[in-house]
Amino acid sequence: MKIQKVKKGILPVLLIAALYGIPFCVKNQYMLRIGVYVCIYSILACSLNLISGVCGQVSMGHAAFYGIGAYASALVAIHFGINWVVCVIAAAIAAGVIGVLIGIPALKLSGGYLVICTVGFGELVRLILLNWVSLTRGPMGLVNIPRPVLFGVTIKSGSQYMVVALTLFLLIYLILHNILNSKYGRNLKAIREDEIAAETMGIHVHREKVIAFAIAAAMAGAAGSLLAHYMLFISPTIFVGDFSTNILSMVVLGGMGFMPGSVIAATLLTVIPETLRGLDKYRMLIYGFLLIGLMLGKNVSWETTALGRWGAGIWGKIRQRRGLKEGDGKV
Amino acid sequence: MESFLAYTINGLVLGSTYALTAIGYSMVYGILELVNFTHSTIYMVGAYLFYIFVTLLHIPMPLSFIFTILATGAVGALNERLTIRPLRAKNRPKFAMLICTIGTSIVLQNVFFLLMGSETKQYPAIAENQSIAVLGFHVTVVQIVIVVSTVLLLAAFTFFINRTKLGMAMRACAQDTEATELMGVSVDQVVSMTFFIGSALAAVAGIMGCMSYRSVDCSIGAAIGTKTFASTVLGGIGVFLGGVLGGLIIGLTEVYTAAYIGSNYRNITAFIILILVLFLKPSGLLGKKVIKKV
Amino acid sequence: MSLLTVSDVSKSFGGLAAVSHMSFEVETGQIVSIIGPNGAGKTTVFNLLTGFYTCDEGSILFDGEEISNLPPYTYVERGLTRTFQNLKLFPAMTVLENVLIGYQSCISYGRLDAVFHTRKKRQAEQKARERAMEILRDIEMDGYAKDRCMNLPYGVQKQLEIARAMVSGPKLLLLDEPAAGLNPQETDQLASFIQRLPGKGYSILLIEHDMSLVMNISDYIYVMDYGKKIAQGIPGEVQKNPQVIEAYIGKGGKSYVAGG
Repeated sequence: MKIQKVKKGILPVLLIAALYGIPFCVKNQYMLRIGVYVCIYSILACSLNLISGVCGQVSMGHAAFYGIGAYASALVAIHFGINWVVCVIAAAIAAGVIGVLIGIPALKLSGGYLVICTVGFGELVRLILLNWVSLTRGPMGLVNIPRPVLFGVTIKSGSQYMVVALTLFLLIYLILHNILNSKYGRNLKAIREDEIAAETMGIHVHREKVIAFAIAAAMAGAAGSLLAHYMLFISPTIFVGDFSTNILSMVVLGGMGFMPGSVIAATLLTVIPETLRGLDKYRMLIYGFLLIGLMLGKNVSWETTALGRWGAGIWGKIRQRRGLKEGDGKV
Repeated sequence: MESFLAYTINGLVLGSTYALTAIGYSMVYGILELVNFTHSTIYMVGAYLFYIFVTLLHIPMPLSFIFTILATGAVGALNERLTIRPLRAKNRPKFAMLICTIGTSIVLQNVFFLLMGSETKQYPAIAENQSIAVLGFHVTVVQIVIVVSTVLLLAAFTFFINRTKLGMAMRACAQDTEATELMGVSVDQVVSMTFFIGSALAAVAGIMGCMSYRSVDCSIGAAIGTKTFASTVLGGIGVFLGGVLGGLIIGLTEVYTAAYIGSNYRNITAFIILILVLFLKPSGLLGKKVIKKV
Repeated sequence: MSLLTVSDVSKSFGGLAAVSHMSFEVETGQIVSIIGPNGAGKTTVFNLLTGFYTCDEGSILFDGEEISNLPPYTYVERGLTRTFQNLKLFPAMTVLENVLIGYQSCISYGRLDAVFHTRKKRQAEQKARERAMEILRDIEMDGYAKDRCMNLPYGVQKQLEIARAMVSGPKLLLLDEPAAGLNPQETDQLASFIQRLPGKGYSILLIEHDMSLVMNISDYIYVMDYGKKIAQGIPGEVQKNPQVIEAYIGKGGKSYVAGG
C-alpha cells in the first residue's frame, strides 16, 4: 500500500521538477517568452475547459474575462502600487464577480443562444475598454504597468517570470484537478450529459453552472494579470473575439472535459505558430479547419476529440501500469 | 423633424438587410435547432462575390446579381452537404454541429481575407448617389431599390413557404422532422434547400448592405452576426417571417442610437436588445411559448 | 397517515387538461401503480410530483409536508426520486459515476474541502464509492462499474437507472415504465426485483403499460384516462371494472385485460 502511494506520487513530482527545470536551464529569452505564454494560455484553456468542456456550456467570451483581469490588475498596480499578489487576487475577483453577474442571466440559455450571448458580452467588454477613456485610456492602452515584486525581489528576467507563471499555472491546475475529482466536478459532468436528469438527482443546475462559470472567469482574470505584468503594456486589441476562438480551439483540440489535453493543446497552438512564423497569416484558417475536422472526425463525443481520445487512452494505460484501478475506491 | 425622417429611412434600409439575413437563421434553427454561425459569414461571401463579378470580372450588374445569388446559395448548400449532413447522419451531439459552424465561419472569412486582402474596397453602385425628392425630403435610388426589392423578395418568400410543395415540406420539417421523413419527404433535400435559400437571401442582403455603405471588407459578416441573430430572436426564432419585424426594429434602434446617443454605441444596442428579449420574452415577439418536455 | 397524498391536482397546457382533479395516495411500504392508455396523463402526474411542471390547483402532501411546485432539485433530499420513460442516464459517464451522481445529495463536504482535497472529502468519497458499489452488487452490475453506460445493453441501462434512483435511499421511488423495451424474461426479473423493494424500506409508485407486471406486483392500482381518474382498487377489482376495459380496448374487449 505504502509503495503504491509513493509510486502514485512520483510521476507528477518528476513532471513538476522537469517543468521548473526549464527556467533554470534555458537561457534563451525568446524561448522563455514562449514558455510564459504557454503558461498563460494553459490557464485560459483549462479554465474554459471547466465551463465548456466539463460542464458543456460553450462560451466564446473568455477573452473578455482575460481582459477584465488584465485591466483590473494593471489599474490596481498603477494607481495603488500594491503588491502583485494582491493584484492577481483583485483581477480574479473582478473577473469572477462579473462572471457571476453575466452568468446568472446568460446560463439560463443553452447551446447557440449562450454562444451568441457570450460573443456579445465579449464585444461589449471590448467596446467598454475602448470607450471608457478616462479609466482605460481607450485605444492607447495602459502603459508603465509595474513589474511584480515578490519577497523583495523584482521579477525582471524571463526565467524569473517563467517561475512565477509556472507556479500560478500549477496552482490553478491543481485546483481544477481537485474540483474535477470531487462530487462537484462529477455534478458538472452530469449537467453536461443531461440537465433534467441532473436536476432530478438533486443538483441545483443553474447554481452549479454559475459557480463553474465564475471560477473559470476568475482563473482567466488571473491569467490576464499574469499577462499585464509581463507585457507591461495592454490595449483592447489583445482581448478580441478572435482570441476567444483561439482558446476554444485549444479546448476542442485537447478534448472537451480532458484537462491534460487542454495543456498539451495550448502548448502546441502556442509553439507551432511561433516556430512556423510564415504560417501566421494562415493561423485562423488552420484553426477553422481544425474545429471542423475535429468535429467531423471519428467517434466525437465528450472527452474524445483527437488529442483527448489519444491522451485519455495513454493516461488510462499509465494508471493501469501503476496498479491503480478505477472503482477500487482509490481514485 | 426632417432629420428624424431621414434617420427613419436609413433605419428601415438597414433593417431590410437584417431582415433578409434573419430569415436564414430562422429557417435553419426551425428545422435543425441549430444556430448557424456560418450564416453571417455567408452575408459577407455574397457581398464579396458580387464585388468580384462586377469589379474584377466586369460582368454586367444584373447578370452578376443572379450569378451571386446562385453561387452564394450553392456555397451555403455545399457547406450543409460537407459539414452538417455528415454530423446529422452520425447523430452527433449538438455541440459538434455548433462548433463545426463556428469553424466553417472562420474558414470562409479567412479564405476571403487571404484572397482579397484586409483593406476596405469601394463597392459598385447603381445610379451614383442620385437622389429623388419624395414628399419633400431626399432618398437615394439605392435606398428605394433596397426597400422595394426587400418587399418583393419577402412577398415571394411568403408565397413560396405557404403555397409550394417544397415550402410546405420545410414548414413540416420545422414542426416535426421525423414525422416528415416518415411521410416520404426527403429531409436531407429539404435541409439542403433551406441552406440554399437562406444563403441566397443573405447574399441579396449583403449586396444591398454594401451598396448602401459603398464599401466592402472581410469583417462585415462578423459585424452583422450579433445584429441579425438579435433580429431573429426578437421576432421569434423558428417563425420564418419573425426576423423581418425584428430586423426592422433593430435597424431603426441602431440608427436612432447612432444619431441621438453616439455612434460608438450603435453596435452595442443590438446586443442589449438581444439580452433583454432573451430574459423577458425568450420566445420573441411573434413566437409561441414552448413547453419543456421531460 | 399516508406517505404521499395527492389531492385534487390539475394541470392544463393551453386549454388542454392533461390532468384534472386527480387524487390518490401511497402508503408506506406499498407498491402503487397508475395505469392508463397512452396520453392519459400519467407521466404528467410524475412531472407534477417532481416539480418539472407546476400544479394549476390541488395539493401534494409527502410525509406530511406540502411539496407541490418546488424546484426539481429539492425532491431528492425529501426522499423522493424517479426514473424516466425514455432513459435519462449520463451516457458518457461510467456506471459507477452514474450511481454516484444519484448519491450526490448524501455526500456531504464543501467546495473548499473539494479544492483542498481534505481528509473529510477523501473519506466521504470513499464511503460514497462503497455505497455505490454495494448497490451495484445488489443488482449484480458491479462488473460493469467502469464501463461507460452508453456502451451497455438497453436492459442493463434500465436497471442502472433504477439503481441510480435507489442509491440515496429514498422513501418513495417513482418508476416511469420500467418494463418498456424489456423482453419477457427481463420483465419477470424486474417484477421480482421491484417486489423485493418494499422489504428494504422503499415505497413504490409505478407507471406501467405491461398489464401482467402491474397486476402481479401492485398492492393498489389507479386507472387514468383523458387526465381523469376513472377507477381505483386492488388488482382483482380493477381487472373486472368495465370502465377500465372500455378505456383500454373499447367495448367488448374484456378478454385482453382479464387475461393480462
